[in-house]
Amino acid sequence: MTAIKILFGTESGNAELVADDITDTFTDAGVKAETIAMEDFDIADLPGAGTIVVITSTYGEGELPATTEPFQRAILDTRPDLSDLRFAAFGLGDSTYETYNNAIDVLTADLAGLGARQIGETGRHDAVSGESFTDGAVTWAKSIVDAL
Amino acid sequence: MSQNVTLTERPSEADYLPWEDPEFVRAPWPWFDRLLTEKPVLVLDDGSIVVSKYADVVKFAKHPSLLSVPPDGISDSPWAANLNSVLLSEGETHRRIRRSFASWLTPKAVRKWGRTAADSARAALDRIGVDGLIEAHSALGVQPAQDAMAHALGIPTEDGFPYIHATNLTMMSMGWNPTPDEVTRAHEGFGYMMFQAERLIEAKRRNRGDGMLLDEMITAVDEGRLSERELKESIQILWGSAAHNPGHVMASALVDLADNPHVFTVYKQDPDTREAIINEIFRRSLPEVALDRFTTEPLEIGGVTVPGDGTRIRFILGAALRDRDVFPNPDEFDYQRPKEASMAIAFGVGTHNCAGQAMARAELRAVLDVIAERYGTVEIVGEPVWTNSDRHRNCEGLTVRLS
Repeated sequence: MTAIKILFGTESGNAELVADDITDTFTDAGVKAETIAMEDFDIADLPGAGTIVVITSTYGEGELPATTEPFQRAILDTRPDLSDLRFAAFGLGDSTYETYNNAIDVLTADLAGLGARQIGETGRHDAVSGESFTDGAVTWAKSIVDAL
Repeated sequence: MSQNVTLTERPSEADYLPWEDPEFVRAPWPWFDRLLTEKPVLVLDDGSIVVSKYADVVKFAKHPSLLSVPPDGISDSPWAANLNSVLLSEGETHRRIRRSFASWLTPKAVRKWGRTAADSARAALDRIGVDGLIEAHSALGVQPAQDAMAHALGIPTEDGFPYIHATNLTMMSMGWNPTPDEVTRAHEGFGYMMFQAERLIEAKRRNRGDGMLLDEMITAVDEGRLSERELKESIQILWGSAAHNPGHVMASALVDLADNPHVFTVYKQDPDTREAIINEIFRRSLPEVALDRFTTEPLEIGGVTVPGDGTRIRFILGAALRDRDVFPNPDEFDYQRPKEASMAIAFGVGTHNCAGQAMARAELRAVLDVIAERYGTVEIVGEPVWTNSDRHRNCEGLTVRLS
């Protein structure tokens, strides 16, 4: 079975921690998974990737963070046919912003707009809640692993 | 509220914020308490605004219309030395500079630097004599943080204390009413740190290729992604201030653990509590008392309309972090506060939040774990040397006995 690619884009590195937690949770559940930074992933491999997870924080006033931005730009520039792609999505945000978790919503819409099918609900971590990144990531990953 | 402080019945601006009062500078908590209760958004005689409620600080301190410098500029302020740094730049410039080093300070990346801090602390503990005494601010706070940053930058280790003193001099000019002497001393502090930054950059240029952070940032200059001035100011901050706040936080932590010995016992015996204890240490240590921002458009805060004409707004983190609506019994050390109260605004909020937060956390955790490995009791010996202003709180000496 091909490992599920857990793709993360980040500004300060928190999304990377979340990606590792999700990878570990899937692995513990018997589902092969691997963490890959978005800047290290070739968009040409996206249509045939099967099932992926995308993780991103939101930067500033609803913007895409440093390593999500080029990934999204590449998708929009090349506009691949993603009708064979399934994806789950998890966002890191701060609900004191009106643009709370905007980046994961933008990415989700971009993938769906090219034919990809989302599995389950978008997970959202809220910095205001005080919940640890690990707790948020693991709870969501456990809720979604059976649907992969 | 402290029983030793007499506050007048009909407060004037000076009563709410007696900037020159040594007791206010030493321990502003009773004044912050009154501000939170009576004037959470205070308009000063000169039109400046002071904001103290936690909810208001969290919401407004990161407002995108606010600048870190007045719209008219800061002329010959000592802090002009940082106009080309993440501290005082905005928008795309700020983002570009910050991204030139941010990937070296992620929670995952700083695990390596935390191990360096731990090694430095262990070596210091190995040198403790039979009396158990150690100059802890320096040996367990400053030097581990300085050594960790030396590792990240790829430069030789150095005594960190001169940089602490230099940074404290610069911070004195960030107070509400700095004196001419404080401004002069701040220039001296920046002069020292800029000289050191230039020296390190020049040395690395003669010895390229180690792939560490300074080498990578010089490459960014060579490739046009960073200017020479931006490099120099970034290194001045990364190296010059590497241990300034971490050293103070360690000193504050040791005072907290000495005053609350049961907390150190819990820290030692139950690793699952350590993150919560560390969060409470950060809440109380408060190296940055306030953030000053300047308006570019009108803002409505707590029923007060702040004009958009470059009005100064001081967001008092020190008051927000003792807001009873969020932190009941705010003066107590309580590591069991609800998780909703754990957002560490001591590191600021928004895109200007502390870029070194993950590194500071990793260093504090690494060194406290090393201390807890060997000892169970902290005792403060003599008087700590604190250097405070209305804007910053820091340490220049703390002797402890560990047993």
